[in-house]
Amino acid sequence: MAKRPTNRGQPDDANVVPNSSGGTKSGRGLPASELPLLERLLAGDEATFRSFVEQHHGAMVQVARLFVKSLAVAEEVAQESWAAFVRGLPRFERRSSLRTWLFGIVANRARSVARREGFYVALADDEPSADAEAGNPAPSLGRLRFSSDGAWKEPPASWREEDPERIAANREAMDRLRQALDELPPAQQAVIVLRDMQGLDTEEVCNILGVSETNFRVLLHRARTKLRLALEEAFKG
Amino acid sequence: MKATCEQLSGRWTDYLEHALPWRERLPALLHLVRCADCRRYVRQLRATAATLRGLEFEPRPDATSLDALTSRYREQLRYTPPQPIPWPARVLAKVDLTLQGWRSVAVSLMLLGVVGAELGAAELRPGYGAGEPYCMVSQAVVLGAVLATFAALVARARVHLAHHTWGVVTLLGIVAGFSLAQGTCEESVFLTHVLRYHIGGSIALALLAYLTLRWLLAQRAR
Repeated sequence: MAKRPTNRGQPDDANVVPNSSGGTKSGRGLPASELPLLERLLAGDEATFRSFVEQHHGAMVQVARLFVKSLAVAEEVAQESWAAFVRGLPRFERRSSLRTWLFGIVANRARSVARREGFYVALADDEPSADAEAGNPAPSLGRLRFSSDGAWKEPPASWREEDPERIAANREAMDRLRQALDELPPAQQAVIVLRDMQGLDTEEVCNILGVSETNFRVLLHRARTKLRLALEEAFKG
Repeated sequence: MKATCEQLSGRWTDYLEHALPWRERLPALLHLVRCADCRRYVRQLRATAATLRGLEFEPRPDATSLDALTSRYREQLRYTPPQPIPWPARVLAKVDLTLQGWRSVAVSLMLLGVVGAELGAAELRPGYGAGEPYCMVSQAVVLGAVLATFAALVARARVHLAHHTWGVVTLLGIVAGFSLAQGTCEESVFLTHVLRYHIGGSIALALLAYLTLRWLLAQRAR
């Protein structure tokens, strides 16, 4: 007898990948690289579970922060989402990666909490500057760096270090990078967290955050441009 | 019209994300060949993105809530024993191939099966029968191909099959593989003619087996 667990009729958003009604395109299934992790989690390996939580909690809070009004509420949402994650884990249907599922839970919860508290602000699809940069429509790099014919007036300085591993080993550079990350508007932060830090693909990020691909790339571009500038400060000359 | 450094400076993220339409990609590439400053800029953007990979974001969870969560996890897992992961998926996961990799393996095995069947057919002019070496080889290869394709599909879909479904589908695979091979070996079988003289027939059969399995798995996953 096939005993396929189903979530129907349960108020849990555990197995929902948001915005993917058919689930065909984003439902690429669990990547092979995550299977050992899932097996350990299902086997009740507490050490694995704790390190998984520690590894992702910050990113969860960051994603929640995008929708709710304060860090404290975001923290609360992240906690609840972990509980939902634990509840749903044995019934996880493997239609997406574990992390896509996890971030889907947190984004969904944060959205409904925000809606309940009347704080909900959808990321406008056609208005990329809605992410708290409304007063600053100029491209992030700044016009000052180019001359009137569109060539570099102040070309990018050569860096002492361009190897990601060595950059990561440089304390000053990483401090600057973290500071720049903290200063990004929430939408840009969320995009960087999911795309660059967690390595989810474009479609997954767009589904989780509920933004269009165009908007996603605008956010990503602005964020990366600023983060590059932070590293430039650390490494130039 | 040539794009300037300034115009392109807004497009490099799309370039790195492989999201630039080819009409823009080509000029962008040509620009990179010429412009050392933009090359450096793109290199630095790429390094920035790569540095972020795996970086952890504050805050870390506080100890009390982590403990509470862990005990919840312990309780949850105690009452719902983990479902066994079916052996094909488990075994195949050890061979760390990407989805693309599995697909290529399955397709190559299928092609090999078809070639094997054809080889058998070509060699098995009157006088040959079941049990001849060629026949055995082609039987084995075709059977292997069908099963490998199925295994790859299971690995791909990562679905749990109930034991009886798994049994039925395996049996179907074996029957399909066997009759395919049989068709190449014995005059009496209806498929002989098609299989012996028409490589298209072999391909159609292999495809049919593939589609059936895919359909079954889709039903299962729904």
